[in-house]
Amino acid sequence: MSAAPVPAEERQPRARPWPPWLTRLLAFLGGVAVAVVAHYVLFRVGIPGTPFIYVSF
Amino acid sequence: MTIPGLGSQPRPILAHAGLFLAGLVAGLAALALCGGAAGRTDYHPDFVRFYPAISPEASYFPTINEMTAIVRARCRREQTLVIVGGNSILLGVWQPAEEVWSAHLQELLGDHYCVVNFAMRGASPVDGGAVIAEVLRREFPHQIYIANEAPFNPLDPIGHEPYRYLFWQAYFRGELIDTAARRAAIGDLLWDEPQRRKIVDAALQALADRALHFEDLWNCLAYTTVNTVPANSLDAIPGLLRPRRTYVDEEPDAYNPAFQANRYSPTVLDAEMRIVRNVTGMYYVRTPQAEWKMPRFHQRDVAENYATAFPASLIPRTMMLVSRSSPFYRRRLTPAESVREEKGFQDAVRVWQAAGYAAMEYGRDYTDDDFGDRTHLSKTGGRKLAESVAPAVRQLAQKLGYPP
Repeated sequence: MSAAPVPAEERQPRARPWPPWLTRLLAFLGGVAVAVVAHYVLFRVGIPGTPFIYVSF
Repeated sequence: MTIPGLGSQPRPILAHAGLFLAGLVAGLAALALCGGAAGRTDYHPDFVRFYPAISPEASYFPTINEMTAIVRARCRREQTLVIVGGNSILLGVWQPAEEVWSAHLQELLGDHYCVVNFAMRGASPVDGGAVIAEVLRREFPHQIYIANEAPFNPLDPIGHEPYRYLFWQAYFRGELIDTAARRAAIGDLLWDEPQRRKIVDAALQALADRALHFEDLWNCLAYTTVNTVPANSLDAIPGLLRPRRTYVDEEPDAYNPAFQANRYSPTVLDAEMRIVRNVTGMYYVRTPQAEWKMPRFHQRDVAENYATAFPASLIPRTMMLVSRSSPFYRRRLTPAESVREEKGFQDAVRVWQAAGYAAMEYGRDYTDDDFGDRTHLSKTGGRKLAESVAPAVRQLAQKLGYPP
């Protein structure tokens, strides 16, 4: 026998294991990390004979 | 939504897209600032030349900013800037860094001149140093550009691979002189699909680099801090990340006895002799009167090619050295071949001079020991070269009206 469903208004939100400021920091740092990778890829695609991830514009 | 007792509910990570974008923009801005600073910094404090570990041979491509920073850190505007371009001969192959010919040239010319060696292996006179000299033409108006070439080698006014990247960097930054010959050469490349794509790539790369300075930042890091570009001639894992500055210039000395034992090896004699013969043999025909002549259409092609290889305004300050081979091989030519070679070198100098260049040949009276192999000079050959080039540089500077 299954339990009766809990009405939406009574559901308890699952508490996150990290504080909200950490989420914001991670989002910002994620953007910085993507910037670093993009910057480096732009450098590497210009090198003739790049052995990996050769992307032609 | 606020749940009593829990405060504000944490937003899902997608809700932080604004912060992510802010990080992306801030990161790119910070990297661009660092790259801009790297491009204005001379991070080669002991620069002598682009030895293999810091040259395109090892996938290290010095940038325009990197090379101009080297000049600015060493030379004062009141000096006459002497940029050495050309190939491995002027780079000083077989000459240890401390005894390279360009250092001796600097000693002979004195403090009124500033000599910088930007020669690169296999480069033509219009590559590498030629581009940098042209970029610096307004900043260093008293300049002389020196390069070398074998007689009658054709030149492309937009440079040659693998050094053409420097031409594109400068060209798409608008730092080069627009000439009809360059436009025609680029027009020819546009007909070829792979070349056209290369040009589009180079244009986009230059455009992006102008804003983001990635070339300078990552080159600077590779040289000073952490190498990120592998090359066959460098350490593999785990030494892959070793910065390029830690690789020393290990150019061997042609006077090393171990090397001298194998110099002019019989195993390469035939191959080298073919090259020595072809230097002039491929351009001349023998008349029924047993004279060597270059066909008229060929003369016209060479003359036109040299006249348009450099922008007209830069030709008078350009000195072309026509390189002789080692006498070890030249004395093995037949008498008829020797006559042809003599005529070929004299004609080559004349053609350069007729096009407006300062030109001279060197090596005619050098000894076997003045060469490390068929074509590269030993340190004694390098000293002789410097001793013959120095007065020619002074004479050219005087002719151009540069301050004494």
